Formats: sequence, C-alpha cells, structure tokens
Amino acid sequence: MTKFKILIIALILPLFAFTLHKYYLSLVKIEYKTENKSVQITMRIFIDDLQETINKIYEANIELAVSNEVKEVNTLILKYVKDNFEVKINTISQPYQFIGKEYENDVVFLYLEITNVENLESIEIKDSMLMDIYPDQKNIIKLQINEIKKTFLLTAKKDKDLLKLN
Amino acid sequence: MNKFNLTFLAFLIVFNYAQSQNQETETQKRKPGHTNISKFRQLKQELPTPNSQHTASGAPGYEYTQQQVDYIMNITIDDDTQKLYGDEVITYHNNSKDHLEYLWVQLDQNMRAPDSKTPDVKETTMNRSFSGADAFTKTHLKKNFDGGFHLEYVKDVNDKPVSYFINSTMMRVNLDKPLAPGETYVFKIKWWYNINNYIVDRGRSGYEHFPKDGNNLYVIAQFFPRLAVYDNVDGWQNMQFWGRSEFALEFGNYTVNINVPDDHILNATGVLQNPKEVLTKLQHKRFESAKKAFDNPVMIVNQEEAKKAEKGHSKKTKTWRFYAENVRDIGIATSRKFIWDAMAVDINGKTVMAYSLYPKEGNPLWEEHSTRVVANTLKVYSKYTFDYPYHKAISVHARRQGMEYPQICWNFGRPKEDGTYSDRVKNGMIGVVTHEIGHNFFPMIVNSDERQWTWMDEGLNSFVEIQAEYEYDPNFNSRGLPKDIVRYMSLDQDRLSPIMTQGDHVYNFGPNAYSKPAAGLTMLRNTIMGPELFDHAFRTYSKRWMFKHPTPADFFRTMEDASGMDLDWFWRGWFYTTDYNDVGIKDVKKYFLTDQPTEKAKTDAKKYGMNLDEFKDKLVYFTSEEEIGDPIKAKKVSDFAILNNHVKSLSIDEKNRLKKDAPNYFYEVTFEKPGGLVLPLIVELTYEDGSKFRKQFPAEIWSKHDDQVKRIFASSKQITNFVVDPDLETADIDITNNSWPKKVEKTQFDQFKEKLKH
Repeated sequence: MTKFKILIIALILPLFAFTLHKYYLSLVKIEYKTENKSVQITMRIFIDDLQETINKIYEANIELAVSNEVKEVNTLILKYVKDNFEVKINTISQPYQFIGKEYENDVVFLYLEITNVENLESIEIKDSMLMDIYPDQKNIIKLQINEIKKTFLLTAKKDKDLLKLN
Repeated sequence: MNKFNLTFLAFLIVFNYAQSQNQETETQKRKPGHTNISKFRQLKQELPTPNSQHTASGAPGYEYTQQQVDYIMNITIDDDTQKLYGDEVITYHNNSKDHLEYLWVQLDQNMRAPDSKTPDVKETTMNRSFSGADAFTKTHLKKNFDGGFHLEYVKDVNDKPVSYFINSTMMRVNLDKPLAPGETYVFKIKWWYNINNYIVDRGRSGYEHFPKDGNNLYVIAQFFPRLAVYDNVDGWQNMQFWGRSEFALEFGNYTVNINVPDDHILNATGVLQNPKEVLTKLQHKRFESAKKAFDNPVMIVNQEEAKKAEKGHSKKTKTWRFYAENVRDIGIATSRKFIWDAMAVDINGKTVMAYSLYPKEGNPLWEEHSTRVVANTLKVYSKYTFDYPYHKAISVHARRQGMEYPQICWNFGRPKEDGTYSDRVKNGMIGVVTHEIGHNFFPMIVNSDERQWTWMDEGLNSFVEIQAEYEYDPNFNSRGLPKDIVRYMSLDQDRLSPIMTQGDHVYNFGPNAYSKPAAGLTMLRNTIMGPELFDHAFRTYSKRWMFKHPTPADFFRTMEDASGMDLDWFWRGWFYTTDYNDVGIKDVKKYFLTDQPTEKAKTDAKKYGMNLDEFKDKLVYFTSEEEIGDPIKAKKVSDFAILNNHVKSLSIDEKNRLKKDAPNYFYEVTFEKPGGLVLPLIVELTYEDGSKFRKQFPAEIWSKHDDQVKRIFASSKQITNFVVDPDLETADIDITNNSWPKKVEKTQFDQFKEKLKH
C-alpha cells in the first residue's frame, strides 16, 4: 500500500526547478580487508532527503538531527535501509549490523558492518535508496576491497552492480 | 684560495643527476613535437578577441552599447480562476550600431504549455513493474498542465497587427522595415495564462493553495512577453528556455499597474506610486515610519490583521501602481495572507528598505530572521561590490522556492504547524534569503547572461553569500569552501563538466555552477591573491559592469587587470577543465654536515682529478642519513673552523647580509602532484621543539615540473614533520599523501566505532 503512495509522490516531482544548492547524491564507502574479515559500510546521505523519504513511505513524522530525536528513528532508518540496500557476497545476500549514525551539518552518516567474511570473491551492491522519492537520485558506491578500488554509479535505471575479484 | 674553495663546494652541493641522465636508454624513440601545452599558457584560444565594446582589460569599451526596453503594463490577477491577464506597451530602443530586421521576444510561460518540448528531452524508463490507480492515472492519463501564453494581439503603435512567429519559448516579431541605429519601435501585446500551482506542477513562480483557509499565495514571475537581449557577443540571445538555464534580459523602465482583490497585500519590483490608495491609514502611517526603523523590523501589516484578512474573500479589487527605473525584470507577490514587516538599512548614508512578506505559517521564524537577513545581506554585499542602488529589497516566504528577481525574491523555510523548527530549517532559510537577496547584485545589476553561464551569477553570488552568512552568524555552516567541493571534484570524470559549460548541459548542476565557482573564488581570495588584491579586483569587476552585460572574459580579464596577477592558469584549470587537485609528499631525504669525505664526494673528486687529502679541514661535506648512520655523528655549522674563519674575514656589510641561523640540517623534499590542476603549494613544517613554520610556493612552482618538484629546506633545528595544505585550502582530493612521516589515518568507520566505545 505504501509503495503505491511512493509512486504518486515521484510523479509530482520537479522536472527542473533548480533553485539553490540542491543536488541528489549519496555516497557509500565500502571497505573490506581480508585480515579484519569485516566489510565496513559508511553511507553519507542528505538529512532532509532521508527524513522526507522515511516520513512519506512509512507515513511517519520523524525529525532527524534534533535534540529530542526519538528512538524510533533508528528503527525506521534501518528498516528503510534494509528495504533498499543489499550486499551480496559471493552471490549470497548478507545481513548487516547497524553500528550507528552521526550527523555532520546537513548530512547523516550511517555505519553498517558485515562480519566474518572470508574469501571475498565477488561483491554485488544494490542501492535504490531515495530513488522512489527523488527520481534523479544518484548513489555512488566506492568500493575498496583490499587494494582494489572500484566505483559504481547507481541510478533508478540501474540500481545494482557487481565487482568480481577473480 | 677562499674563492677556489667555494667554487668546489658548489660542485659538491649540486646533487648529481648527470650520471643517471647519461644512462638513459638510447633505444627509446624520439617523441613527436607538440604545441604549447604548458598549463600556464595564456587563454588566447579560449577567450574571445577583445574589441571596443568588451576590451582587453575586461572593462566596457568606448563603443559599448546596450539596448533599452521600457514597458507600460496593466496586469490583473484573477484569484478565483488563477489566471493572469495583461496588456503592455513595449518601447524598444535600438542603441546598437546595427539595423535590426526583427525583434525576439521571450515567452517563458510556454515552457509549461501542453506542447512544450521540455518534458520530451528527459529520458523515461520502465523502472516500475507495478503501479497504483492514482499513480497510473497521473503518469499515463493526466493531461499536461494547460500553461503557456495565450496571445490576444500583437499590434503596433497605430493598432495595426504586427507579423510574428512563435518558436516555443521565443517569438520573432517581424518589422516592416529594419530598425535603424538610434531608433525606437513601439508595439503592444495583450495576453493571458493559467497560473500554475507550483506545489503541484512545479516552477519558479506560480501559487500555493492553503486548503485550511482557502487562500492562495502568489509569487508571480516570467509573466509577460519580454524582449531578448541583443548584443555583439551573441547577436540575439534566443536560446530556448528549457526550464533550467535562466534568463538574459535588457534594462529598462517599467510602469506596472497590478489589479488584485482589494483585501490582498501586494509588493513588486519598483517604487509604489499609490501607497495611500492601497494601504489603510494605519498601515500607511507604519509604512512611512518604518523608514526610520534602523534597529529592528517593524510591522506594516501585523499577524492579527493578516489572520483577519485571510478569513475574508473580497469581490472588489484594487490596483497597486509601481514605477521601476533601470531594472531588468519584474516580480510580484500577492496574497490575503501576507504579514509585512520592514526595516530601514543605512547603506553609506542612503536609506534602503528591507521588507519581508510572509503568511502566519512562516512564523515565528520569519518575523525573527527574514528582514534582518535582508538588511545584513545588503550591507555585506555593498561592501564587497558597490552600494546597493535600489530603494528596497523584499524577501517573500514561498514554500520550496528559492528564486530571485530585482528587488524581490521567493524563499523557503517553513516551521512545523506548531511553529517549532529545527536548526536546519532556520539555517536553510537564512541561507536562501541571503542567497536570493544577494542575487540583486548578480545578475540583477551585474547583468550576466544566465541562459548561457549559470556560474556567472550563481557562482559569484554563492561566494559573496558565504561572507554575508558569516557576518550574520559567525558559526554559520556555509557551503562553498574549497574543502566542501572535494567530494564533487573526486567524482567519476564521466559525471563532471567544466564550469565553462552552458547550463542546460551540465552534470550535477548545483556543485558545478554554485559551489565549485564559489570555492574557486574563496581559494583565489584567501590563498592565491590575498584579500586586498582580490577584493579590489572583485569590486572593480562589479562596478565596471553595474547595469551592463558582462561576459566570462570580462570577469577573468578584470580580475587580472586590477590585480597585476596572471591568473590564466587558474581560470584554465578551475573553469575550463574538470581537473582536480592532488598534491602530496613523495619522499623526504635528510642530509647532515660532516668533515669526513663521503663516498659520493670521493667519487666526484676522482672524476675531477682531485685529491681530497689536500683539502683536509677545508671542505664541508653533505652526508645522507643512511651514510652517517647516527645523526649524533653529524657536525654543526659552528664546528667548522673553515666556515667560521671565512665568515670572520667578511666585511661588516657582507656580514649583515648573512642569516642569523646557520642551517645544520638539510631536507630534500619531493612533492608529487598526481592531480592535473596547478595551485599554490602550501607546506607546513614542524621542528623538533614543536614550533611550526609555513611556506607557500606560488602555483608557478609547477610550471616546469608538472608531476613532481623538489625543494630543499635547510634548517638550524631538525624538522620532524612536513604537511602540505594543512588547512585544506586547495580542495586536495586525496590527503592521505599529504604528510611526512606518512600518517596512517583511521577510516571514518573505525573512528566512529572508537567514539562509540567512549
């Protein structure tokens, strides 16, 4: 039911309407080091966009980055992330742990971690975050798997990509 | 003897590259020749040839001309149907030396006409595998908004129909005979259009409907057919309006009569001609007394009055009359819901009025900040450019808007229904008001061509905006500093455009046209030129092009002309390419002094047929860290009798020319530059006693070594640490290579995890 709502919202969105500083971009850093066996994920997202998205999709009325932020916020954020962000390692979808979040000016950093990862042979990222509400949303994924660096640019048109290491 | 010794010393000081160069492989193929590819070559190919209108100094030339267009118009806004009706008499003054066969008129509203091509240039995809009924209806069944101008007539001064042709958002008015230089042409247009609800159909203007009280709040712009710019830079500027790249407009004098319901409060560009007629006696008294309210905003229409007005719905109308001299456009805001406050601002002895119009939904944020921010913006911008020449500046509250017109602008920032608001909402509002009011200077007065060069108004404005925000709130989190643009500049090159790209074809519009030029100007001011040189040059540009049409070249040239600095390398890198800055420290080699011949000295001596035994106690040797092993074994300058005696033998005059601290330690630092940009190299070194020293090398240090350059730092104390760009002034996209010894930076993730532990 809520998903249908999303589509409606997507339609009334700006065709253009560029005013001030606005651009739709998130940045996700994903690092893996064999010796740590851990995939560390740092997401950088505009607070306003995340807040508006969550409120619209879950018909909530949360406010982020305020002194009286309610605890429910983290649950909703994680739910939203889980619905839209998926990591497959060696073709198998991996559960991740929500380590926490922190605010810096108008962005929020979300920290996620996948532990006990050995023999990383391929990693696939799906990230459709904010794309339902902002059709122009671009999610940039910066991977560093040991010494190998790779960048994915994910958009509504192509919201997942794969890196093979062998 | 002394002389010979010194010459020989010089030999030893020189680091010997000769050998390695001789060993270069002879099998290597000769490289082909090339043209001048220096990053410091002048912008002769990029900039247009100067002429007597746009001179080589960047100033308007002795033959500079500009067209003038005057308008007399009557506008009616029908609040019941949300239609705007207008008629206008246009007087076009051909100040050019050219004969014009036709005139081009801009019909911006046609961008939202049913046959607009704007939606057609957007890629659409079948992303969705499902769709709700409402969504399906809106995507596939809903008609486009019935926008666009409906022209009722285009007539000449004798009411004879004029021939014209409409090409989307541009209309060619065909003249019976070419308009000669110095002549004027008068014609009339009558039109109407449906005003868009900009919350539903978007747009830079339109109205917002408030369902609770049934009122509309109008912010009206691009509402009349208006002349395109004609000049000798582009001929007619008649590139289509696609919705993003904004406007190019001529200056002129406007007489505008606006008819609205008589319970509306309205303001617009221009001097209000009939305040007594349109305001109540009490409001008029406040309107007059506000002109002396220099300390705090005062109410002209207060919240109680606005709340009362929004309950009514008058069928009667009244006409607000404005006269605006030397403006490039008109904007109008009108609603029953408006609260109106005012404050007088002293701009070097001249009083300018700062106004705000907002519905009660904007309070308490708006009554607290809007007008004060307007006042601050006018003051700070006047300092950086020229005294604000108009009589007023108005900030209008409009949800989700941030858009500028002469003397008036629309700004977002709405508290929640209970009146509370977060710091982000507040700072967003302060930022947008500063930004849009700042646009009065760029491009409303320094009237660049927005259709082509978004950065010329957005970039320059974003730069001054930062200065104004800091003056309003020293802790304001302004974006647009060099460190803020690093993420953008390190994006995939496929997703970047040079700043010098026409606005419609730019990837990542915001950082490209706003933040990157602002960051560049901040870097120019604080790091490359210094505030004194920069501020004078920036003011010179602003003053030279007040009420005129500058081009990018006029800006680039003036900044050099007024400062005596060749900045072509900066414009080339920052504005004409997508190159990024990345400098680092590749290697540091330490050298010490010794009185014992080193292996290298022995080899060199042999080459020159010298016997070093003959020079015992007569030479200073430089030895590497590896060779000496323990630095304790190194000598100090004061240990060398030969040097002491030499210094003693000097005349007083010569002695005065010597440094006080003799260097004992020598560091040969190799700076690498993986990035393509050339920028000043800022080096901070830390001595063993913890004290620091900073040295900035001009960008020209890269002129003959684009990828790496070496420098020797000679010091009386040991240096423990080198850092490049310690204050993140130069948008270096990778700072992991900026320190020696190399700092192993913890990842942000690890840092956060550690924070959690504490």
